[in-house]
Order: sequence, then structure tokens, then C-alpha cells
Amino acid sequence: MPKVSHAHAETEPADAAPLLDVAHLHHSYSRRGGAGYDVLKDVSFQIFPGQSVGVVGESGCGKSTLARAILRLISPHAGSIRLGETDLVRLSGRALRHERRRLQMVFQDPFGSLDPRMTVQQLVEQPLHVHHIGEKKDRRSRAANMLADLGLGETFLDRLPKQLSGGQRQRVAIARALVLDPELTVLDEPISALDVSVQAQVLTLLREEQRKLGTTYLFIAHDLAAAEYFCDTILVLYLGQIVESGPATQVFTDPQHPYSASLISAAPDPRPAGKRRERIVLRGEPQAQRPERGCPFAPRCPVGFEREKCRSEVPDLTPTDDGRRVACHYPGELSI
Amino acid sequence: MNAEQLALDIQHLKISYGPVEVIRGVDIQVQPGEKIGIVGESGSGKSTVALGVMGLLAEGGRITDGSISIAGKPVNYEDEKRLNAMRGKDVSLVFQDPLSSLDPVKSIGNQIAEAIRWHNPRMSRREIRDRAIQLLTAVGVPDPAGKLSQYPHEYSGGMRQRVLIAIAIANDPAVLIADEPTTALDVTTQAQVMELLDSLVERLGIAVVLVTHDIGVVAEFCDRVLVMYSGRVVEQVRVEDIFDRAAHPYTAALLDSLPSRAAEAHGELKWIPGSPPPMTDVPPGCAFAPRCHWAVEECSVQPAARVIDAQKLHTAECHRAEEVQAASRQAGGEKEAAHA
Repeated sequence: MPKVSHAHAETEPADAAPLLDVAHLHHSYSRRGGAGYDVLKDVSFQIFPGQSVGVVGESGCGKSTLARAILRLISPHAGSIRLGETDLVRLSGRALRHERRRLQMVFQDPFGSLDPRMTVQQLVEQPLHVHHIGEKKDRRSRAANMLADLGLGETFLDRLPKQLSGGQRQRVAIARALVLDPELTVLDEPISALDVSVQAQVLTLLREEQRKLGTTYLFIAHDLAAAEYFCDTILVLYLGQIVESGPATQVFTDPQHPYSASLISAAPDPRPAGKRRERIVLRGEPQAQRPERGCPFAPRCPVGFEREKCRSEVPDLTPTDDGRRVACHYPGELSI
Repeated sequence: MNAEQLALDIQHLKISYGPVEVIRGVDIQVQPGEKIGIVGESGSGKSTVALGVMGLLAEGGRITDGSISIAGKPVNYEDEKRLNAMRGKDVSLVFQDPLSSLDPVKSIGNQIAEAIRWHNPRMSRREIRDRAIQLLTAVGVPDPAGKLSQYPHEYSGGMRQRVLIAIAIANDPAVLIADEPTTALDVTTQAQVMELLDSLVERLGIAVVLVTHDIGVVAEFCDRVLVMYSGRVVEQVRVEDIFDRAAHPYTAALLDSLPSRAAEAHGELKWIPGSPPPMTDVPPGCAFAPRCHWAVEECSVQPAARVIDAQKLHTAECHRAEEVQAASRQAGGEKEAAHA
């Protein structure tokens, strides 16, 4: 089966308008008695309608902060997040609540994100109720249809979350998000809490619903293989900055930034020995902070560790010939 | 195989929690220095086997049948005193979450010293300190002497896991059981820790039982894989044969559900319909049969392990193992073709 072939963000024809346009987004967490630490630093990217964009990177890279900023669960300190014509950063109160209907989120943990006292039917009806959509009867049927689409038929409607398996709960959480017909759905590690055989089912259902509803996904991923399989476009984040972005197939098969290459090579590869990628092992410990000067990745970088330019100048995120963006002085030197 | 030479020999093991049998007859043999992986989904019993070997079953759990020998010595799980002498010395355990396995109010040095002193009560403070520094050096903690007085919160996740490994190898065990040792870590850190573990056990000749849900980790680290389902080992296979010679339908289905393999072959992800039976209600015969598209009438009778290869390293508990394996080989060939 071919991959869902949406055009890629970086190569989208000029006439298509982005659904989401994030520009120069900054966010910092302040520390007592000291300067704040920038968890997101000058993050800019676009998402086009119907795409699946994956954000990968390790703990502390800012991927969850990015998701929370887009949903406006936090207020970013600078930059803009335009959903269509609306800048979400400038909204508050009722106006923000109104726009939230266009944005939904599926959380990682299906055990913590569902009210244990509500039935499956009530859980999926609730978002419609909150946003005053439809009559009561209409809401019932919409919820039931959504659940049926996700393989949860009538027998499930009166069950409580505790009577469901992990995969079934996550399908209820997805139904809660998609029943509002959102323009953008943020999936924050939606499969990491699930067993392998169930992960495949949830990914497949998400993709089928996307085809049906035309929704757009921002997929925050810990599992690189799932991101490679699921996404059209990939953003690689390192210490709050995009270090590489581009079409998923290109980023995964031929990463240009040494961090992308290291990350992809480190993922456990369930293939026979002869076909496995050679692993690039990074120097030292994960960094908690950027160095004062130079490329943030330089202290661990196999390419730039000893290079003066990498240690002194911050590389810009620069467009490449093949439609990607890479923030590296020596892109493509480290291959996998 | 000479039973006395095995690092770990588990025979017909059955474990119950109250009236519910959760391990339903498991045989596992591990050679000295061999690395085996136990894979399976939540509830398959893989962690219960690990805890059973350690004599650390939760309240209500007990071994109802079978035997466990470590380094040739049968273990008596009724004798708590002997168990305490065994844990850490003959067999040690590394848990998933390094933060909760370390005591937050004791320095790292003290926690390593405690593990050494337990089995070497006559060692002097000086000797213990030297040994602790030696262990931290072996697991790649920088500035080990300076780090001894630090506390767990001052270590990163990867460094904490290294400390746990240092504690686990402190008394040269014959067997090290690692239960999802890198699941809580980021991939680049995971790669470092697995690489370290690999070189250590190689050098010290320790046999490893790696319990994990991640077939990728097993593929890179282990010599042999045991696949568990509903409290039984349904397939044992050398790691190089798992990918295109799977002989149990459950193993084959697990592999088909991996996104990395689907992405490679540009194929569709497949999943296993339904869910594993509750352990209170395991069907007679093969427990996987209700979800298995290979199932036939005879699957209502528990299949014996069938030997698939000449060296007897590959076994599968399936009545149709040979046919399933033929299909796996064919699918493997097609993937090869799609890839080329």
C-alpha cells in the first residue's frame, strides 16, 4: 500500500494556504533568581490541510511544550500561531474557547485522560455538549457513529473506562477528539502506553479517520518507527529548536543533521543483523542546556565537536535544494 | 545439554496468584554467558517469570510446580535466608525505573557499598570504597570517586541506570535479569546503556535474561528469543531466525504489527484482533487459538513444543508450526524483493 501521499509541507504548491502557521515561537520557563530558560526558541513551521506532521526529539527537547502552546494550554511568550486567519496567541477567554473546537488533543495515557465515572457514550457526547453542538438526540447518534467507526459498537456504549482494555480506551479518547470534526488534532504520543499489537490498530484507525474526515495531525512521537510510518513531514527538535525538517521518507532514509542521524540510528531496529543501521553513539550525557556559544548540539556532535565554527557560530535553519530545512554548518557529513 | 553447566535452568515452572495460574508450565534454559530475550505483551507473564526466579513474587504469588536452578544449584524458595544469600550473588535484577529502585535519601556510594557488604561482611570500608569506585568506572560513570557522595536526584536517568547495573554486577552473579531496563530512557541514552550492558556481560561472562516488549532491543542485544503468551513460552528461536522463520502464528503476527517493518516493505500494518484471554479464563488447548487465523479443530488440544531445526534451538508450540514457518519464509522473501 502506498503511503497517504499528501504533498509535503516544505514543497507544498504556492497556492495552498497553510492550516497552521507557527512563526518565531518562543517560550521560556523562568527559574528562581536567574534568567529564564528557553524551552522553545524561534520555532517556525507550517502545516497544510490533511497532512500528518511528526515532531520527534528526546525528553526536554520541547515537543510537549510545543503541543501545549499550539493548543494554548500555555501562553507562549513570543511569536504567532495562526490557525487559518486567527492568531491563537492573541486570543483569550471566550474567543479562545470558541476556537478550541477547531483544535483537539489525544493524550498519551488513556488511563488518566478519561473520567472513570462516565460511560463510553457520555464520554464521547461530552465535547459536543460543551461546545453546544446539536440536539441531545443528534449528539447521541453522532457519538455512537464515531465510536462505531473506531470499532466500538453498541455493546460498548454503556461501559465504564475500567471495563475497557488500553487500546479500547485510547479509541474512546480518539473518538472524543474527532467527534468535534477538528481541523487540527494533536496526538501526544498516542500509542506509547499501548501494547505493540494494539499500536498498529490505533495507528491504522487514526489514518482511516483522517482520510474520511480530512483532519490534520500533529503527531508528537517518541517512537521513531511509528513516526516514520505515520507521518508525511517530520520536525526534529533539539533543545527547543528545529534542527531539521522535511518529508518523512527523506529525513528517515537520509538525515542531513548529525542529531537526526544519531537519533534515527539509535532506535532499536527489529531487522536481521545484516540489514540493520549502524548505530552512532553520542558523546557524553544528554544536555540540559545550550552552550553559551555556537551550535547547541556541538558538545555531543560527532561532526562538530572539535570544529571551531560549530563551537562559535549558531547555524541558521537553512532551506536545502531538496526542500528541507537543516540547521547545521556541515549538513549530510554524518550519514546512516 | 548438561544441566549442571546451565546458568539458569527453569523446568515446568508454574506460578499462581491465589487460585489463578499465571505461569502455566514454562521451561527456560540459559547457557553461561548467553543472552536471551523474553518478549510478550502486558499480562503474558514475562515479568512474573523474572520475579519468580528472584523469589520476589508479590503477595499471594507462589510457585506451584516445577523447579529453578541457578548455576547448577536448585533454589529453595521457602528458605528466605538462602534466598537473601542468593539474590545479588547468584542472580541479580535490574528494574525498569532507576529512580524508584534507588533510595533517594542515601548517597550512591552507600547504596553500592550496601550491595557489596551484604555478601562480603568482612570487607573493610576501604576495600568496599575501592570496589565501588571500580564498579562505577566499569559502568562508565565519569569522576566515580567524586560521584560516590552524590544522591540519585543528582544523576541523570541514564547514569542512574548505570548505577543499578553496577549494583547488579557487584558480586559477579551467574545470571543478570533485566526487566525493561531501558524503557524509561530516551533512545540515544538507551543505545548507550545497552551497549554498556553488552560489553560488561561479555567481559564478565554473565548470562542475561532481558525481559522486554521491544523486539528491536532483543534483535540487537540477544542471542535467543523466547516469546510468551498467556503464561507459556510459545516459541523459542535464535534471534537471526525470528524475522523470516517465525513458526508460531503469534510471533509472526507480532512482527507484522511493527511499524518499522511495515514502513520498510511499504506494507500495511496488521494487528491481532481481540485481546489475550483473562488468566482466570484461559481456553483449553492453545490460548492463542481464538485470535489465530491458522486455528483448526485440533487447536483445542494444547500443542506440545515442536522442534523446528536440527540443533533443537527452535521450538514452537503450534500444531501447524511447519506450515506457519513456510509462510514466514515466503513473506520474508517477498519483503526482500520489495526492498531490493
